[in-house]
Amino acid sequence: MASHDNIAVKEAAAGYTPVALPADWRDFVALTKPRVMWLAVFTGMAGMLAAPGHLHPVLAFVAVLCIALGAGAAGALNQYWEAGLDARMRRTANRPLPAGRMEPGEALSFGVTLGFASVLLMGLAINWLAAAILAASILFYLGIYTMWLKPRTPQNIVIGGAAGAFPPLIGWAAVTGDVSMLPVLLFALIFLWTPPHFWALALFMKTDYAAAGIPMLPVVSGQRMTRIQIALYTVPMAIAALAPWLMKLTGAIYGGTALALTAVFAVLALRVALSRTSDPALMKPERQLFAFSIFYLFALFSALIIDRTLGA
Amino acid sequence: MTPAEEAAYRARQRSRAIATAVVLGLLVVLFFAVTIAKQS
Repeated sequence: MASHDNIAVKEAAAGYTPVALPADWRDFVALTKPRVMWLAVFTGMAGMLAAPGHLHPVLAFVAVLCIALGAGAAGALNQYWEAGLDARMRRTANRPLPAGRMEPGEALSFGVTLGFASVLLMGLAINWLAAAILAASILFYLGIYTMWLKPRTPQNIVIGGAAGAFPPLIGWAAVTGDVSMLPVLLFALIFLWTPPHFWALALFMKTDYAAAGIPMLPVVSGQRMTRIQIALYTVPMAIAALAPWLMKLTGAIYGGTALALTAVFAVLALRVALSRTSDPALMKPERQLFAFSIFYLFALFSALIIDRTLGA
Repeated sequence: MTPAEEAAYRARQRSRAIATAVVLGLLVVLFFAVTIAKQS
């Protein structure tokens, strides 16, 4: 490290500026937030598979690809807008823009191109309703969540959660060309799942969010209020999870899975609500709830796919 | 630009060009497959 510093000092003294390399293609992949993209792809596929009707396998692949590209575009534009914030948080400081591996203009043009391509391809190959919902989800994530809500209010992820809830609607619309009650309930489920999921993370990452100046609920209203809100939001989330079964839109496979998993979710949320610790190192229930919430959504949508496939 | 930097620069440009070519090739295949699927 010291020898590198010496070289840098000598180079600076000689008026030498190191050449910035063009961004690597892997940096463009990282810009699309691949891990977040998988959740959008999976829930979008679930919407497609749960929908009545049939889509040619090639077109089904294109629809899923468009959802992935749209999510990637939203992720890239989010990282472009939040490069300054990302630099202040340990969790995000190594992303391509804050780490200086990519020029902001490159990220912007990549995100815009990806977004337009995903919507256009969806419209031309599948249908324009699915394309319109995809465009709305990208614009909602960028305009409403990233630019407007996130830096201003602790309700950022409550309303912003809608952005991540669009994929099942898009998948359903891709197959049927319309939107009915079941995909709306799936939208509601992801929308209401988002606050407890993100607030569990925000509890043990509070210092990171505070350092970046993001008004997450634990930073603004304190841990006690966040814990209570997690428990409160679990109630409508549970209703949304069980509603497809109670309304006879799904069968017993989904109903039984939803009952069992939602009960576990509720117990974990209750443990978080009753916990008093403020030391992130001791926040085991919060970490458990965060990890389980991801499994919960995957398992629930898997059960939905199996239920609807066997029941068809 | 030192020779080592130039080599690294060219290598990075090459890998980006290959990645772009692969994406464009896949797009050609995709558009062809979509056209066939829409006709069937």
